[in-house]
Amino acid sequence: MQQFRFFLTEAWEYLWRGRGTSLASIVALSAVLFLFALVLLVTHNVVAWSGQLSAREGITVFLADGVSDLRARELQELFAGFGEVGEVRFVSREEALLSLEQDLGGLSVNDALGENPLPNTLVVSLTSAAAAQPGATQRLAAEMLNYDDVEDAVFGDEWIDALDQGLRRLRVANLAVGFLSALAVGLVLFTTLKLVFLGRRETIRILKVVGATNRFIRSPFLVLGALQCLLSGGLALLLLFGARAALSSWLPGFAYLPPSQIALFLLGSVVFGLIAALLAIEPALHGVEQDRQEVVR
Amino acid sequence: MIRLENVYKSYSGSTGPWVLEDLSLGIGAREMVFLLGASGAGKSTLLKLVTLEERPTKGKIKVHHFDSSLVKERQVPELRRRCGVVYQDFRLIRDKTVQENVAYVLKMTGILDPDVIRNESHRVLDLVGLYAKRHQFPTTLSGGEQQRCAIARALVHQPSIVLADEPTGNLDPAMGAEIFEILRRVNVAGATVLVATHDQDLARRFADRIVVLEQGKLRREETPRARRSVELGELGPVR
Repeated sequence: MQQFRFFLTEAWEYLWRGRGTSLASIVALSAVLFLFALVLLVTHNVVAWSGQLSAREGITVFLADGVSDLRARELQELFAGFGEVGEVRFVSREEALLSLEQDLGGLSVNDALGENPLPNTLVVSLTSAAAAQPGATQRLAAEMLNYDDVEDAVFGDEWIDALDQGLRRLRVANLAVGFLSALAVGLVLFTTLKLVFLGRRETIRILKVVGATNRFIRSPFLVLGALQCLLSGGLALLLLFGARAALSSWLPGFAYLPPSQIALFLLGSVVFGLIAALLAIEPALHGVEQDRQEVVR
Repeated sequence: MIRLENVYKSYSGSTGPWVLEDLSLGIGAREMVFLLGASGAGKSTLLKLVTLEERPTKGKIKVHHFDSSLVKERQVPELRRRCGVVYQDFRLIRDKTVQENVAYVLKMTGILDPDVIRNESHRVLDLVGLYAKRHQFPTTLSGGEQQRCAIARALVHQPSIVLADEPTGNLDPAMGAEIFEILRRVNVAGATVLVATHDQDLARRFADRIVVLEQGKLRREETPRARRSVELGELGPVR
């Protein structure tokens, strides 16, 4: 712990000593991370909305003729036990007929056809999380069709397919923006840390000759990379929070990132900062030794 | 403590020209040995070989249990931490105070207790007479003070070997004598001291043994009689 505090103090000193460069770097990193966080926020809201819509639409399972109420209740309990299923409501053929006749303005279907043509049905709604998964509704409907006494399982194919496609595109966009952000963050951090390292090169040479290990020299730079990314990530999230609050009257119901995603975003920033710092420092560290040998020659 | 066996060193390849040529030398514990020679005689290279800043082209060097032909690169920092090195150009970290420069070495060796760091730093700064200037930055010190700071840094982790490469090269004679006096005290306290210099007078005044190098070869060894008798008379045998 003491050692980490020492490395943190050193990193903070590097940050403070080159505060002009550090500030420019943090601003640039924040801008990139803001864009990434914005895409995450849009995705989060779209996924939540699509989940709610799909869950509301659900699947209507038509049971075969002659299926007893008891069997229908069995199937209701069975489907309710599926992880993706939020609720299963049993609608008897009598209730369905009543509802149809109401929809038809009081026309008696029974009188017209001589019998009730409607089957018993189960109305299945999905959990929001499952509904947000592309293809989940289709998979669940197909699985339900495999059961005896299930005649058909229908859902709004077209619009759910369109929604699924939209979600897939959004996830691809997420990946693309994530990749580009990572690339930009990596480049900015790589350049900044190289500059800091070059500024400390003489000190590093001295440390090497008095017996510092590479780990001792490298660690403050790794902490510096992580620290810069953490500060930038925090700043990006703050900016996003401010922007969302400012636009909240135009975008009612547009939620901010949940705490778990905020934590993940910051953790990801730190890990990425560490990796970028390692990639920047490792060759430079070995370069110091080679430079020294060339100077001697 | 330090042993060189038929050491050759070239910066141009395995066939020379040789900066050091067929050099064999043994330095015992608690000895104070001076390497004398003109510029280019190979004194600094010899010191670099001891800390494995350079590896011998041929031959073998043993420092403690570290054998140059066997030691791995990741073990080199451990060897260097057993040595304290003083350079002609001081090599102090400019943006750290005198005390921070000294304390840095302790932190590097894994000592992070603030009380221990403060006590040890004060002890060596007191030894070299820089305690009062411990909060100053190196650039505000005179050459002699900077060199004393470098010596304090070299001593703070209590190394068994102290190497000094032309430590008085940038100093006036009076200050030079003062620096050698500090190194002598370090030697009396138990450290092996190896000094590269071209100052014959000071070498004869302070050395247990003088090794004269000429164009990379060991020309001769001397044991200054005056020094030996004074040493025995004042302190008794140190070995």
